[in-house]
Amino acid sequence: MPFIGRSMTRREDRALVRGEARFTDDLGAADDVPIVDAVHMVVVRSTVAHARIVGVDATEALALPGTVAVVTGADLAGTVSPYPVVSRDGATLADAPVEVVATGTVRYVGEPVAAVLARSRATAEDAAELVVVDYEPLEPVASVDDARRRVAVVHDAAPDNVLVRWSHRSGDVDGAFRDARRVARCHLHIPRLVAAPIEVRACVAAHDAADDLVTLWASAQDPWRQSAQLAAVLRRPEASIRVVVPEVGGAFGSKGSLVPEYALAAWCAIHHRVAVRWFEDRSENFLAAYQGRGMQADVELALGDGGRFLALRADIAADIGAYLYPNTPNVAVTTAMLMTGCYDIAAAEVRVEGLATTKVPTGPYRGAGRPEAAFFVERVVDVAARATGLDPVEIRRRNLVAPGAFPHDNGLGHRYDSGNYPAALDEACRLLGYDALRAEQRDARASGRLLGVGIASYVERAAPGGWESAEALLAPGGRVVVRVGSSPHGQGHETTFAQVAADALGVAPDAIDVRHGDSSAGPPGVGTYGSRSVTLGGSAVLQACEGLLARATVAAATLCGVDPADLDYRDGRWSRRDRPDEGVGLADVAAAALDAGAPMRADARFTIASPVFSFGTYGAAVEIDPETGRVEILRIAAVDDAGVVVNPLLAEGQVVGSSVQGVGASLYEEVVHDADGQPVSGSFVSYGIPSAPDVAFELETALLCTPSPLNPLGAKGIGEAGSIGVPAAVDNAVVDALAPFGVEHVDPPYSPERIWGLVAGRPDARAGG
Amino acid sequence: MIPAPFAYERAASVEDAVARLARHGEDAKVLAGGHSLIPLLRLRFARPSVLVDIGRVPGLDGVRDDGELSIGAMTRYCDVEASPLVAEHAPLLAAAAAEVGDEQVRHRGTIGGSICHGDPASDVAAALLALGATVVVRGPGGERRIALEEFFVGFLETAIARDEILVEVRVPVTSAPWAFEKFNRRAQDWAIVGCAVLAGSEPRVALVNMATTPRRAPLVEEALARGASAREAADLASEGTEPPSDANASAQFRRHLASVLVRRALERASR
Ligand SMILES: Cc1cc2nc3c(=O)[nH]c(=O)nc-3n(C[C@H](O)[C@H](O)[C@H](O)COP(=O)(O)OP(=O)(O)OC[C@H]3O[C@@H](n4cnc5c(N)ncnc54)[C@H](O)[C@@H]3O)c2cc1C
Repeated sequence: MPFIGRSMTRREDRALVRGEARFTDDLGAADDVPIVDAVHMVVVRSTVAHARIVGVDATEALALPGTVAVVTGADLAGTVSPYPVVSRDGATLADAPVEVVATGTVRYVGEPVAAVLARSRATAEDAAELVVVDYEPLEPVASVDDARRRVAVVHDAAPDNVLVRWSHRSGDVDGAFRDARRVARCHLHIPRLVAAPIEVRACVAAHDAADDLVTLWASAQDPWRQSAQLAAVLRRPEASIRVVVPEVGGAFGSKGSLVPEYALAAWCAIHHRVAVRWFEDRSENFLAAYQGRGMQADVELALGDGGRFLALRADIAADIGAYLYPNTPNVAVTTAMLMTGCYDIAAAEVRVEGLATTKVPTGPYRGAGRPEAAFFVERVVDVAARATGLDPVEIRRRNLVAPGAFPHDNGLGHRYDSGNYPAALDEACRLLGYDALRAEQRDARASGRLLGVGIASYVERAAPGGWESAEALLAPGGRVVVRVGSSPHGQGHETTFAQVAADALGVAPDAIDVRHGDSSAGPPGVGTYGSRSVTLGGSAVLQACEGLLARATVAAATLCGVDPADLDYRDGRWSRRDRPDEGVGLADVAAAALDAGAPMRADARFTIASPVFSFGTYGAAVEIDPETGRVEILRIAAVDDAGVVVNPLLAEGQVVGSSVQGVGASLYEEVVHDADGQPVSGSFVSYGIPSAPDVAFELETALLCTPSPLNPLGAKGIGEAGSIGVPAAVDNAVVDALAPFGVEHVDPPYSPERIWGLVAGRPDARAGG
Repeated sequence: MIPAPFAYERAASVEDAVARLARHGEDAKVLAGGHSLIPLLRLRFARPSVLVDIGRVPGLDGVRDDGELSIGAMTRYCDVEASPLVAEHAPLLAAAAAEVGDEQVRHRGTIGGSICHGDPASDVAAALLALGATVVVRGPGGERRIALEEFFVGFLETAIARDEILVEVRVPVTSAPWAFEKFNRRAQDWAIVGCAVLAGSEPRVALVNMATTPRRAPLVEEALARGASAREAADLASEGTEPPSDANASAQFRRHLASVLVRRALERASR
């Protein structure tokens, strides 16, 4: 029985649950990390949203015993290059890359202005308090509206404050809207969210002057993007940089680009000839780690006979923030390119503007553009259902891309590889108990209870192009060491990749060691993001192991003195066809290869030409307390199709975790800035994420399987599913619950006060009949 | 997130603590469970130069019954929650203690610290107001008793002097019906609004987070005494309050919630 498809517990967990796992700030001499003489770095951050820096006075800070140095933008000038930000998918970008440390102008509260190096963390904090920054205030640009009204220009390179622009049109959009029987419209807004990983950002940087090698140990999603961007910023060849990613306590997209503070630490290590440690506080993570979402849209859907979707138009505005990180522009463009959702819509026109605001930059956060698309699309579909009098499930069923119509061109630049959307919709309705809930809702309404049911179908662009590589090595004793470029930060690569390798090699996963996370050891990689690791990294593992087996078979044949075709291979052993009790095992082949001085190994690099498209349908049932406005989630049904799933247990873990994050986005989470651009939600007191007792609802999950034709595993991605499906389904359920009050729309998060504001004083349609 | 430098001293007895406080004057702060003080230190909002830790002073914790309940200042929430004496004679207090924060907070935070901090959002403070509690404080001049009503002076401000230690909370025993209502967004959050009700012949109602201090709702109590219904009385819950506006709720919404919660608590207590 193959190991692919089996639920297996994570081999990573033993160290984690025993507290033995080593995160960046745990590293020390035992890990060959030179922290003994390291200095601590503490960053002095802008306290204002927009200002010219008139001067930085470090006199008092430097006078404090234990302070080693104070570094400012002026010190870095001429020694660093801008972050490399490249356009993808045809987006037009303004030149506004994020800076390592502000030079001249600060553009958000929390932006690094200076770094203090000191012998202890406590001294560094004391000294940081003594650094005096003199600001000449500029007008803050606190919202997309401010940016459009140009209350100030954030970057000279973008006089209209537009940093990202993208548009696409296909089919006869105007004609369809002209001929439409009805048009469903809505204006929607998703606030900014923080990723809130348990482990905040942290690094150790050291420079070996003898070899001119910079080593960065960092909490990151992968070593590769850190090292490529660090090379560009520090103007060094990539070969002179080594990045090591140890255990990571979560990233959710927020540790994908090079963290400016890591670059600052590395710069300090080079220029001050000391090893530098940095870890941020939770408050700093709230202030300065790039945030997610922050998007609004005007969406219109032209409806024909029978509720048929004829055309879609959408205008999307993203609150980009003060600068572009390399991965910032992708988010809004990802949303735009998925605006036809899982529906067969012949014509579409979508425009995106990403606006500069004087707030911390945005970037990917779990889902990264897909939750926004699902919310925008699924909301307008429910508006259409109400407008046509069709049941929300029925209108979806009539418009989903048919199972036989793949590959499907979505009109916005994507080709969906495979799918069976109606199957996911049906399964979600069954799991949720849709029909029974509708009946219960009728009774509940009659007795004054506000029960709501919501459905949301989504399609997710996963594995957005690119490649990953793997190397399989036959080690002494016959174990196989698989080195992968694809590096995890909590996903369970070691477990799943061992299952893939085990099947390819016909051995048990226990016989496989999976290594990763060091840019100087093993094959190169790209990174872990966009639900791409199994599809790309897993396929590379499969091919490397197949290559290894082919080579080992040849060697085994030589040892046995027969032709490879005359050997049978099973469970790590080759036996002669003619004399089945004679043969050799993996250990023999390994030993022979070592004797010959050429360890047996095989490499593979798997490249995918176009993305794969996971999909699913989520359902939610909620009840609202009309007196307090509290929204209670009663039940969530999560049906996902991620193609072939290597380990259903881990896949379900991803669904559960991302669903809980989706619930946070629905009920609690919202980054708030005041009109001056000052953040007012900078701690877990004012910005709430769900904790265990808040997840008291029923969560039913199911995985369907429509394999992808684009990779040998048939895999797609699952890592972000719940963050995409849950908010859209919950939103539809909340609006459905409030229908008796004539409520047509409510933006997340559904705080009691927001809901109460919609209900209080409004005539209840129930009472009036 | 490292506090500004301070000296740490461990008091051996209440007298020793009082002497240390007197010696250091304005710059010293008492450290109990640390669950309000340490966050303030770490944010550098508070910068005492000396902390006097009363955590190991013998005799400051535990619950006794001497006709009233005597609860030592250093008694942790979890011990209040678990105490059979509290369960029997002041179950309203046990219920309020069980609603504070999460397990960790309840295993460190103390009843004395919660009162001395003077936070209007304190759950147990409202319960103790409804129960008619008195506190006992000791200073250089000896011991004094202060009715809890008079203890809360302003936002994070109490009637305790800089060189005094709260040693004990005294709670009249009661078998009156009661209810505690806490409204928050997430299960372990601070109350957006809360309310403690002790019903019976002289009903007492206290509110969490509806003013600069924990406070009673005298108009509700009077209305109840006049025989008003729960709904009529509850409509008066926010009269005279000055609730805060913050990220979780506006003052206006808090006023509305206060009426809803008081009504629900009164209905629950009368069941
Ligand atoms: C994550 C978190 C969640 C929380 N949630 C809630 C909640 O939901 N509801 C709630 O009510 N509270 C909550 N709290 C606050 C908690 O109740 C605090 O523990 C309590 O308010 C303070 O008690 P302490 O023993 O920790 O006091 P400390 O923090 O040690 O001291 C608080 C103040 O009182 C003074 N003090 C303490 N003891 C004495 C004494 N015996 N004599 C004189 N002065 C003294 C100190 O000098 C200090 O000024 C929360 C706290 C945290 C960290």
